[in-house]
Amino acid sequence: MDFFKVANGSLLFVLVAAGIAYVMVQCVLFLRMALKRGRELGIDKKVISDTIKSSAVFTIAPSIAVALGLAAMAPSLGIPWPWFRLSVIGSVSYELMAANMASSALGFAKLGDAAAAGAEPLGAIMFAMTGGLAGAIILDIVFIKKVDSLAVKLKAKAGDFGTVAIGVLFFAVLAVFVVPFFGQGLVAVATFCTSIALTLILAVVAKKYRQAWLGNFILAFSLILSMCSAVLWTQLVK
Amino acid sequence: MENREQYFNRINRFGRISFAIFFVLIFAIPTIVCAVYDIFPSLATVLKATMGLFLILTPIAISEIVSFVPLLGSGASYLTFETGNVSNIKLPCAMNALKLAGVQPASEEGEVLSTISVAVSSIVTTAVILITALLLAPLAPVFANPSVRIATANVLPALFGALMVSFMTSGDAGAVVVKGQWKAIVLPMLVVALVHYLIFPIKGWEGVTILVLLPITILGARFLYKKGQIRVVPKEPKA
Repeated sequence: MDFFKVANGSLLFVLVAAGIAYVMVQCVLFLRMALKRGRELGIDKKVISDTIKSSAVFTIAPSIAVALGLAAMAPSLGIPWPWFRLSVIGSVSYELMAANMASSALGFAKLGDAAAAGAEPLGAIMFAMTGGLAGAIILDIVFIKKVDSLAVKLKAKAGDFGTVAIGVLFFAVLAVFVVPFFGQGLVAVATFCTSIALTLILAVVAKKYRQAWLGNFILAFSLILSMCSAVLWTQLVK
Repeated sequence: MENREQYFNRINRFGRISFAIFFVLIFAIPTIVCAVYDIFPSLATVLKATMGLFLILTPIAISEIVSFVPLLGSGASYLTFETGNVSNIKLPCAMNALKLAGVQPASEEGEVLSTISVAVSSIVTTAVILITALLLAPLAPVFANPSVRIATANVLPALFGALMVSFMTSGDAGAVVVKGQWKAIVLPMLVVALVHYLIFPIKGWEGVTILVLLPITILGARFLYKKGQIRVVPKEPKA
């Protein structure tokens, strides 16, 4: 049977759509629970509405990069399976690697070669990409509650330093992602510096001209504009 | 009104049950497809293809749970790990939301706002990918455009530049402000620079590196706190 008859078949489309719909319902239910809890805690409506708006706007630009991942995977794996993996559970940085590793373990030099061998490799690739995450999902189910509970207790126990410790945790993430940019060439460094400069400029503009709304979108605007600046830096570096 | 523990237990119960159903669901998709088209691979083939990925992704999951759950809280964590794109979309999105609201992670308000932020973000990402899936053919020239490729290839430097500024310039933590907090990033950056440029490149090892870096970052911050370089002071009322 032809690989793409299955990979782009209506059955897989229906199953994937059902899977994504399930996760979307979950998102809506979590959202409802959090909104209700927010009202109970007396969180200002404006804070909630700003959180929703800034999160929605912020997400658009990096989602386009994920969509590009879909465009990159579709010629090798069809549309529905990459659509599912990139919408739920997967990450644009790991999915292509995962698909390539699975096809390589099956003896294919390239992911694209698997398609030439009929539909059988597709089943193995889908199972492998799913099974590779099985350990992660089980760990999530077992340990999220325990780790969160421990963090809250440790923060309370440490008093003022607990506030400092929680505040600096994200610095470890920043350090791991930021430092390697300096070895990735001038365009990456220039884009990074542009993003810093734009964020500072927009923050000053929002404060000086009392544009409170702008404060909620600084990250989103800096992100989009500095991504665009990468095109300019690439032209200049040539 | 529920107390904190009741809400915490309820959101975790819901998260665990819905995540367990999701676990079954993601295996059901390849199982149904293989059964209908009669293309079941042998168990040996599946194990061979799965093992490498399992060994890479499981340690990453451990590091993400230890590093990100204290920042996101339970509700947002279930959604984040279930919807993926953790470090490039969900975590920055939630952290930005907390920063804008002047709320700390591991607080009741933080838990609520990060859940809202990640839920909204997941819905938006899914919508963008859905539109792309539906319009893949007409959008092909746009995705093939070199400028679009360059811009999207540089999403991480663009994202983390902006995030770095917002986290280093503000120590807003609810009722208090952490002064001098930015100093705590110097040590982890030096450690990463040393390891990445002089010992071995950390690409592909980001999860493990974050895991190792967490205690180093906290100990460094503790030292600065003890020396009075980082201080926690009550927030001044706005004029």
